[in-house]
Amino acid sequence: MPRRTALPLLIAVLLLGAPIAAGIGYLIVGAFAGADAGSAGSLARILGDPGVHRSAALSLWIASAGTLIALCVALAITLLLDGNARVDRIVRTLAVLPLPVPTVAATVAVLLLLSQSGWLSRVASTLHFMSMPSEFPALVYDPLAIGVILAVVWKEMPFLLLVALSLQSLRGTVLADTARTLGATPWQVVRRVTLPLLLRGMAPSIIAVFVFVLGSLELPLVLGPSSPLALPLLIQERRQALDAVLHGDAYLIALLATALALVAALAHEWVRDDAA
Amino acid sequence: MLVVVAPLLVLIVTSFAHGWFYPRVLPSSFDVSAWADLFAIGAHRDALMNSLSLGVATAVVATALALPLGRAAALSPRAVRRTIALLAFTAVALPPVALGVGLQLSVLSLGLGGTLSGVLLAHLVPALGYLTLVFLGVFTRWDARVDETAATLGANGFARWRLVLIPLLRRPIAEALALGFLVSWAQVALTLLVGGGAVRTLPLDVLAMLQAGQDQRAAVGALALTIPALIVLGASRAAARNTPAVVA
Amino acid sequence: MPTAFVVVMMRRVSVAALALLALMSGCARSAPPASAAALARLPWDSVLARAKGQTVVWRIWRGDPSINEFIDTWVAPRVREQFGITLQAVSGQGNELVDQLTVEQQAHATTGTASLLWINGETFGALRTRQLLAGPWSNVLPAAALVDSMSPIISRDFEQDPAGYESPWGTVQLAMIYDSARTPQPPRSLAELATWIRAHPGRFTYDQSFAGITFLKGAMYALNGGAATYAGGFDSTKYLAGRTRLFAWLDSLKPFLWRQGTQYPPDVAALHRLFANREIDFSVSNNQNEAVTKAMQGILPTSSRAMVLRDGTIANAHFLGIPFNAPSAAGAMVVANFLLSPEAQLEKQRPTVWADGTVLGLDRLPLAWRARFDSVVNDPRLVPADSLRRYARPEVSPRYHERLQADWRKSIR
Repeated sequence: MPRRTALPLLIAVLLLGAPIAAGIGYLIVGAFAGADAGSAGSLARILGDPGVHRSAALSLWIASAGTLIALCVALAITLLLDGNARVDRIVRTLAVLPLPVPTVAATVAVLLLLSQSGWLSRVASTLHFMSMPSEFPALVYDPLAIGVILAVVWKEMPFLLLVALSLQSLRGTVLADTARTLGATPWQVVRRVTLPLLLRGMAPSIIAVFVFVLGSLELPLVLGPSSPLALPLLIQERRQALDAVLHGDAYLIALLATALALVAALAHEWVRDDAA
Repeated sequence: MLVVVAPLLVLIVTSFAHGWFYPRVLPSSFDVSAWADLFAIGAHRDALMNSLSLGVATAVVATALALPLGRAAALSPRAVRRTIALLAFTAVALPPVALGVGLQLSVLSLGLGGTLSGVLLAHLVPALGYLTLVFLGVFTRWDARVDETAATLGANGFARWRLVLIPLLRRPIAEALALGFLVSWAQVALTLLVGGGAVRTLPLDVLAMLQAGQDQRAAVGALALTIPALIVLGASRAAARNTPAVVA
Repeated sequence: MPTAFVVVMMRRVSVAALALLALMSGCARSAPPASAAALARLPWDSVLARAKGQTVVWRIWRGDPSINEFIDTWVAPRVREQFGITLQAVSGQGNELVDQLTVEQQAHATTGTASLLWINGETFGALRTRQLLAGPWSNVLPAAALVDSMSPIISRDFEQDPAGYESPWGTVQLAMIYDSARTPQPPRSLAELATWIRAHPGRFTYDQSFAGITFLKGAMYALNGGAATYAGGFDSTKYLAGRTRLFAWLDSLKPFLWRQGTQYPPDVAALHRLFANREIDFSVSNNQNEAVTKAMQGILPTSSRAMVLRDGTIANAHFLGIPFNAPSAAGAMVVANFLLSPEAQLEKQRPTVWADGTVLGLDRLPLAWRARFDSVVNDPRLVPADSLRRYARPEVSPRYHERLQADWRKSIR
């Protein structure tokens, strides 16, 4: 490899690759060879543990549902913005407000707002729609993690919206206009031109949101159910357990979570538009 | 749009509410003590200062490293470019709980366990990942003719950077600084694991207050966490508006 | 050429980075500091002399602002003024500490960050087993003579002998908290509680962490003949029999608990939140004085009252330990001694400050001090001191707590 390409690769390997290797390396050591060692048998046990299945399922559910709903809302807003510059700008500024809010702050807010004795419930009780906290739907500490999903949508929709809007302004209108002049109805334009274009351009961002939510600790910590326990929480709990056998388990589960993240990283690179 | 602001409004009201329970829709008193304590109590001040220093340091160092790296990657052959992009995204995608364990041990062996520098090193990993991808994107769309024109006009390496490239890069640099800051500012899991509890930051403070039932203080912390983030993002977008767009 | 410049800069950066890394790792290897055990063999004046100018990082539970305020604004200035020690109290408790110190031990970090730890029970057990604590040292403290060493709650930490590896600091007793406005006639025994739960479905639960498991332990004692059944070390047979009865009792109550017993709040704070906001009608606390202190902080309603079940509730003490790699062991010992002083113990016991019980034997103090201690514990919202003593049950081997927590997570949660 010529020198001019070798050096950037080397630097990247050092600055990015080394910490990643250290992270994953120590997990492997901890899982298979460390003081609290597991073994091949442990791996089989973890993979067969229904508790681990439920945790993984919950985390995947939260990430999928949250990302999907955030995506739909972002697309809806993008498609509905009718080009009226002033309204557009107001909507855009407002909708982007949650973007920089740190996740932990968002979780506190959602807890105070959506718990069965939270602010929404209190309004409902004051308006005499209900009289007890238990009549309000269980959105926090619930097995479907609805509160978590709503927090995810609130926090991530602005990001996806910004990506969609920037894609629209960059490439969207030319092809859409062409299709219109060729006689397509507005709905056909959306279905066959705009949406595919947006989705293809947003693919890396969608994966990024998905993998971020999957690995988030603070979202399920504050809002999530105790049964099943979200994957990052399960890892933390077993890692800090006093029974040392569970430590090896924790490292193994962390490796599984890492494997999921690596698959997402490969998918991300596959869809990242290299030419643009 | 009420949906967007409702969570923030609840935080604001809670931050001034002492003894506010169901079913009261509005608190019975207006109490500023929690806000005063944010600055009066040393521990909270320390957390705030730590978060600020970490944020600024992460922003500057990550930007300084990611800019040349992203540029070099953009100019490299496809295979190299894709490898670097993959590494960068992996740094971002790894669950912090998993990455943090490994980083904690590495940082300990460097003798930086439980120190601010150790936590900075940990924050730099996802920050560098994000920013490398950002600059890779910027330089992939870069119009190389600007570069060559400057060279033809006689500017040597350093002058070219200073007089031509950096001014045109003002917008992406501003955005990168903001993003790098926010990645560190909002970080929870990495700080928790690598700092080992000895390094206090504002997000950890918020969690601690919540887990102690101190909702009023947690709300104050959450707002103290949010307001600078809003300012930083607003500032970077304002800076962006004042420079010519580099992207074609 | 553009890339030439980039290449040169990158090379310079990488060389500098490597040099920096080498320098930092070189600086990390320095001589290990004096150990607490060695210092304990010196006269106290030497310890005081060495402590002067030291910085003591103390890992505590920072979740309660009143405790934080007591330590940051009352203790810290006084140890600085009287002994020249800079005290920094940072967050760290339980499993986190064991985890952290284990990692430091494996990484051969001979100088750690923390010099003093706030610990008890299974944390102490785990730290001792893995040899993460320095000692013995606590018996040489001058103030150790004032400690009520006859009390089974103080002389044993979950049946473990401190053996000089931890110094006692305070005592607490588990209590239930109820709202006198909502529940004027609360149940007084475990059996009455079970009846109450069935009559009020969805209005009772307990938390997943320490307080919740302690409550369950108390229930296990009550269902199996009392705390004495479990004294004398961990007995697997007794444990399994006790657990069976306890889990059967919990199963019978499950449909009547909050969220039908399928979800449990993560910690005591979440439990208090549910109680204060009327989602449930009882809370549980390891410190009965929270009925007063938390009401003052606006976390619990002012109509909150504390009570103990007639079957008995668990009382335990909490302690201070010094890690094996403490950088300022002398300072830590001096701070621990100061915290045992009558004035520090009295201040800690004030309801306006923390309301944490004292470990001092009042009969070992001059009369004037005894009077001052008696005056701070009379609040009508709290359980009277003699009732508290009558229903106090000591902790047993920490293995019961560990097993119960693990089994509860597996089967009930």
